[in-house]
Amino acid sequence: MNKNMNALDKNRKRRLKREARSLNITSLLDIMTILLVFMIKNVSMDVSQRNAPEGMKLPLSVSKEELLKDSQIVSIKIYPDKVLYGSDNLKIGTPDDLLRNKKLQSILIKFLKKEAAAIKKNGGKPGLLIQGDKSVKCKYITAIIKLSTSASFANVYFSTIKADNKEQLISS
Amino acid sequence: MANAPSQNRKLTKKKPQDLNIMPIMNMFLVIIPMLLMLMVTVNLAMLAIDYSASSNASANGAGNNKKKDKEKGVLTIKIMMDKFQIDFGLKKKKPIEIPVLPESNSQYDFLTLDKKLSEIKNSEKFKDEKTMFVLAQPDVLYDTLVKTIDLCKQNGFTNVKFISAKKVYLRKK
Repeated sequence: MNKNMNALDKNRKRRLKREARSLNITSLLDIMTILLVFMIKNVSMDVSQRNAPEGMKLPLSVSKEELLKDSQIVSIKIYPDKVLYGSDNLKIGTPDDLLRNKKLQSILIKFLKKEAAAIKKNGGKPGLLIQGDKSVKCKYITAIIKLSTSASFANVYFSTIKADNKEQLISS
Repeated sequence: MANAPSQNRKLTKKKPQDLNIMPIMNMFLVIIPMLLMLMVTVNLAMLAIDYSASSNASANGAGNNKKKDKEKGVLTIKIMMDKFQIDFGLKKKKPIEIPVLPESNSQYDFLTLDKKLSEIKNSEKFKDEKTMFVLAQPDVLYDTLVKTIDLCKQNGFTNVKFISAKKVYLRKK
């Protein structure tokens, strides 16, 4: 009797072992691999990567230059109706304020000087990145550049969208 | 032989079924390509520029380089509301003017500007020249300025200096 019981148990276990199937996740892994490859391609590890500011139409350019070595950037975003300072997007006023408001100009110079001093202390070179909307007038850009050079920002960069070729640039 | 009651009890042994992931896979295969097609990838670039505070100090040549500049010429592109003007900084050579395209809503003629820059760069006098001064009127759009700077760089003038015009008050004679 005991022998029969043992034999039956073994059969049951064998059957149970046979019947337990693993989950086939090959297809899922295929999709995950594709997604992973796609994400890796699109994610940049570049520390100085800048995102296109929200709601801003950047001008096109074919040339793509790199930051100078050891350069650290302070960004200013100029929209037709507002000017934002730094990575925190601190609103400092309108573009007209940049030209006319002397108090604002002196405050901005102070901010820029502080930033420049902090960057130099860390051994970097202060640079200004201007992210301007296409429709902004040059006088506001000139005003910002003048303020930045008086705050010892030697390097100025314009942020643009990379065009594929010259024809695209000319026709846009 | 009669089986023990415990053996008669047949536990409903359902076969463990593979999880059916076909609907999920279908969804992935449809949604992912759609998302990929809708996604916009923006490639950002940067243009480096030099800034000179005054047009007198740079475009017209100042200090020790004045004589050299007068002989060699200093290239300046002036962006005005109705035209481009390419100044050679030489008395004998007249500036080239490229007016806006009249039929296309006063758009700047970047195509002609590109051709002229290419001709200047290929000329004997300026083939080694890498500096170009760019002066824009205050009401010119930033887009025009950037395109002009970019075309200069594309045509071999890698050192683009952005200058602002000084207001000059002349005494009445």
